[in-house]
Amino acid sequence: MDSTHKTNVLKWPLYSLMVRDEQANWCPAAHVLTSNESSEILAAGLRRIKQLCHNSWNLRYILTDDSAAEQRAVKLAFRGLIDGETEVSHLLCRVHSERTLDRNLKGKEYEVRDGNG
Amino acid sequence: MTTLLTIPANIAAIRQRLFDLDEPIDLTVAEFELYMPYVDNVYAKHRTRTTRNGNSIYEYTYYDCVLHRPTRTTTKLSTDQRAAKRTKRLGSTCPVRIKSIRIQYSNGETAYQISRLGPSHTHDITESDLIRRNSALRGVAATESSKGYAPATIIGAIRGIGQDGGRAILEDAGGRYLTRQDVKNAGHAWRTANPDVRIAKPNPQWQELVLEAIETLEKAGYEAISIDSLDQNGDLAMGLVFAHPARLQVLTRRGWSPLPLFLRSLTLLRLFDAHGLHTQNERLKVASV
Repeated sequence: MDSTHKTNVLKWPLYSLMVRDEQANWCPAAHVLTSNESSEILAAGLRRIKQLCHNSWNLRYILTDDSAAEQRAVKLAFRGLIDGETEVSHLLCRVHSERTLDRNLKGKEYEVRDGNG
Repeated sequence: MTTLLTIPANIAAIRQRLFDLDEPIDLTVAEFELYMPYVDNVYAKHRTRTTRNGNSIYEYTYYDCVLHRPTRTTTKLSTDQRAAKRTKRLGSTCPVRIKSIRIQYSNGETAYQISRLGPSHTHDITESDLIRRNSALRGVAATESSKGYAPATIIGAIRGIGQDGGRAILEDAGGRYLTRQDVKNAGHAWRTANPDVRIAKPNPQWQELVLEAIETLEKAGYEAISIDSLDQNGDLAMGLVFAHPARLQVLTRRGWSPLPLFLRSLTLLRLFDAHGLHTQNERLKVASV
């Protein structure tokens, strides 16, 4: 799940839920257009998608970028065992994971250098 | 969009003269109203008093150089408690104080007389331009903002991008350090009075838009529902959820078995499907495992 900007005249973020099929293709499954990027409105959108799926959307994994609002929205919409559902594992995309690791763990002497340096 | 073409041609010399004030200057009302906005970033109004001499009225206004103000020492929060870092300008570095007399004569004519009190500035006019932007430039920015132009467009036009000597004219007018943020700040009052209709709030326009969107999406076979929610600050947020029923089925699958890599490649090349080895039904069967 990720948001895209500049898709509409309102300049509101458009969240797209992509699902990977057995062909390893990512298919857009649902969209949420929101007036802001707060976790509450996104959670409301996810809950509504769950209703559209007749509550048979049992999410097991979700992959987002390093957005705290998106992560919180998933927690609000999919409460896991509290609602008698599967606990959702939240995955971060590789780019953001590497960026976070770089930011928090990288030391100067261990910087990756080009060439033989 | 207007540019700075309305700036007086000799503004650099006039600004310098009003900055130095080595000798008293007499101005007409029109001249005062035209030129003072270009140097009001140098001076801050201190006090005003009015006297009467016969039938003439004298209105004295005293201005201090903006660097005359003493250093402010009273703060409620310590530096490490503040959310944003602030820089404190060292005050009392320039002793200049000027006097402007508005004389309203008995015959109805009005004139201005401006003179400096005490020593001259300890800095040049560029330093004053760095500290504050004058109201003439802010006025241009505010006027353009009121026409709905974006700050980036306005700053480009003010800087005279694409025009010969545009930047030099701006510097003569005191806008050497004019930034996009200054333009944005100048347009703040107008934006507050004329809020952007695109910013979400409970307005009938959104209700109309969402109804129209839902109708259009449903015609295209989508399921669409409007949503709203209060965020942590208590502000109302709105939105629209839409999805195609066929795509929603993908969400409800309970796991699937990924095809081996070589089969996947074949499928991508459409060879696999072409031989009928992997039909839609089979795919669903695999998906339901």
